[in-house]
Amino acid sequence: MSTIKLETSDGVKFTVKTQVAKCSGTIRTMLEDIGINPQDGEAIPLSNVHSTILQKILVWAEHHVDDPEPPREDADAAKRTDDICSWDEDFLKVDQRTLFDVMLAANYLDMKQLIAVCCKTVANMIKGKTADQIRRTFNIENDFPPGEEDKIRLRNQFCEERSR
Amino acid sequence: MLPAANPRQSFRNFRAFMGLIQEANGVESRDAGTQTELQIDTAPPEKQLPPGVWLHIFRYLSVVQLKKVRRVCRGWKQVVDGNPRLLSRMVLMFPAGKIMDEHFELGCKMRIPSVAIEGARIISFTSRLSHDKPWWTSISRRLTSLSLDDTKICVFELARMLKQSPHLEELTLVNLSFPPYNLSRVVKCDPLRRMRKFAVFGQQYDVIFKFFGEAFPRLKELECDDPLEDQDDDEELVHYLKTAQNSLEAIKIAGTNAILDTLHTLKQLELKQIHLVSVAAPLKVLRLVQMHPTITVLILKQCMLSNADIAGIGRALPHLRCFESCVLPNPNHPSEYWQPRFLATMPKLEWLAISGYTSGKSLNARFDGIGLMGLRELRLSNLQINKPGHLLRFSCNIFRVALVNVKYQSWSDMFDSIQYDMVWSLRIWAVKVENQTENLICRFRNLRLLELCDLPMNESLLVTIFELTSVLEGVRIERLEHATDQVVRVMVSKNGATLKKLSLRSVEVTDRTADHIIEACGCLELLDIDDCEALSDAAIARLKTCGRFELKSHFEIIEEAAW
Repeated sequence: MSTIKLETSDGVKFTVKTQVAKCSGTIRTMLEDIGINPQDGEAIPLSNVHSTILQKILVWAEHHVDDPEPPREDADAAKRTDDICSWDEDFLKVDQRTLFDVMLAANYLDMKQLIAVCCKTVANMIKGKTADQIRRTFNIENDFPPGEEDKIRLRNQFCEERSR
Repeated sequence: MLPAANPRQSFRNFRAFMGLIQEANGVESRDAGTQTELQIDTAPPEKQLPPGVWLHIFRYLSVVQLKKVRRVCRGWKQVVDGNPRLLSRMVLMFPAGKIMDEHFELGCKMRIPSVAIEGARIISFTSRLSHDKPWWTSISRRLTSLSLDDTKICVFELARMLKQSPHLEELTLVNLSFPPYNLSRVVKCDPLRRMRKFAVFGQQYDVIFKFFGEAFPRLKELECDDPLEDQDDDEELVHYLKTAQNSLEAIKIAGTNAILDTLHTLKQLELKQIHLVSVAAPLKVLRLVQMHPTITVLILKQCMLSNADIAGIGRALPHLRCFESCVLPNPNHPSEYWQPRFLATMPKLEWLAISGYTSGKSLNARFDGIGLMGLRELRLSNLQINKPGHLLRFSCNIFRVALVNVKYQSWSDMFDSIQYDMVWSLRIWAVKVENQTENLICRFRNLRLLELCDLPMNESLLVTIFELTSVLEGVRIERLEHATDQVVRVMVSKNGATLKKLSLRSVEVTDRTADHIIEACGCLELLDIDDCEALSDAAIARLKTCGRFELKSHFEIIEEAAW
């Protein structure tokens, strides 16, 4: 089983099965298209990923390494968010900071399935909440001038879901 | 073979490449750069996700949720308002009863590409005096879909509007009223090259076709439902059809003799979808479909066909996926049970709708024999089903069922006839039974959408049905005498975690029910309650100010999917 080395932003080196590392589109493209030879023994620098997050992501990749390609979805329709498998659900039961860090790292590493499952998790945190509750959940400041939010709410009435 | 790369060089390439990936993903490099700083733990969490990632997340939200997201903060509003894909799921609805002249103001600045105007009066919107941009020109350039309903407008104004919307792909005109004018003065409307779908309903449709003269060059779908059934009036439409024959693929049209004869003469026409309303001559339909073996969808409303005729259609159309028709009993043995014997000729069928309406009497039907593995959706109406049989059971991939005005022996018969494990959308309207036996053994564990309207079901049966559900996302309960507090309570407590749309019409709703809905339905988006007599003002206020869901009347729970 061939392995490659990855080096995180805080200088920690990971030895990873090539197959698992290839869950990352970024690493896969680099190995296959740019032609980096993994046998060189030099670690690939992942300057945007901290070791704690990479460790977590590798656990995910190890578990999903044999997943088949997901079916293509209609890009314009609202996608389902209730189809997160229970393993992923447990995996993402982390504090918001970690969840966001995993998401950013997944985005950086181009791991579409992990991004999707993180997005679904965050989307579920938005669903069923009032605007105020959403702000509190994500610690967002209401930066609208006074009265603006009410105006937006009134104007929102003009906008509806389009039937097919 | 690639030359062996210098590892250092490769890493430099790799870093440059990473930058590209991020740009491609819509993540600004500035945000990516702050990531390392964030690890020192200073910024509040929301700063951690760049707009590009929020956009990814918002794609998983419905329009109702997106509207709420727009109110959270400026950054989120910009993400939603700036993304054409999210906006393309919305439609801008103008409030009814407006006079839209040069003084009209839009009120909403979202760049939504679909616009619906209803009950308005459109008067010249281009003003030479005004310095402001007239409302129409501020939206027309981006429009891809326009619908005018019950609106008073002059044809010249309409022509001017269309001239300024070069990207229009769909145009729907319903019940337009024109002031009197001289048609000979009509200016030719510019050809809208992107127009794909054109729908005209209601009065004065002949004027509209005369006005447009020739079909849009790439028109694929034409819908024109003539409610008057006035055969002499079809001249303009016939001319329009002739000019559209090179591009047209789908039509929804009144099946008058004139139309059927015209369609028959159009040699270049290659239709994939035909939807005929009130068919005058079923035999002409048979002749027509034989000319179009490419048809995948055939919807025949108010068109009586015998099993032999339908089998003829099936043999002529090897690609048929969707089929709807009224069915006749066997002319030689009218007292026999009707059975869908034609199914063997339609192996690719996915969607089937059968109506047994014959001179006000339901047709006695039986569903024996082998089902269709490919069948996904089934709609039965105006039938009396004496023996449910095995057909439905063996068509084990059906996921959407509608039963409208059907008579069964008992509720057990109705529920037993279909493999409910697979069904996720179920519409039961005006179904009657001879005796009230109820012995529900089926599970609705995948049922997501349920409509129960006009049914003589007692309270305990309704409770039992909802006890068996757990993942309902849309529920409509209408005109059910026994839809009590208890029934609604069971429904929301079983499905509170998934329920998004709830419509309670002509059902008495009390304060307790309302509070239960507010409490139990964590992800409700739309709520429709039309009978508020038993509700106190305080409860109505609680529903209105809850903030998690919208109150709206008349929304679809189950969308008609075939066309």
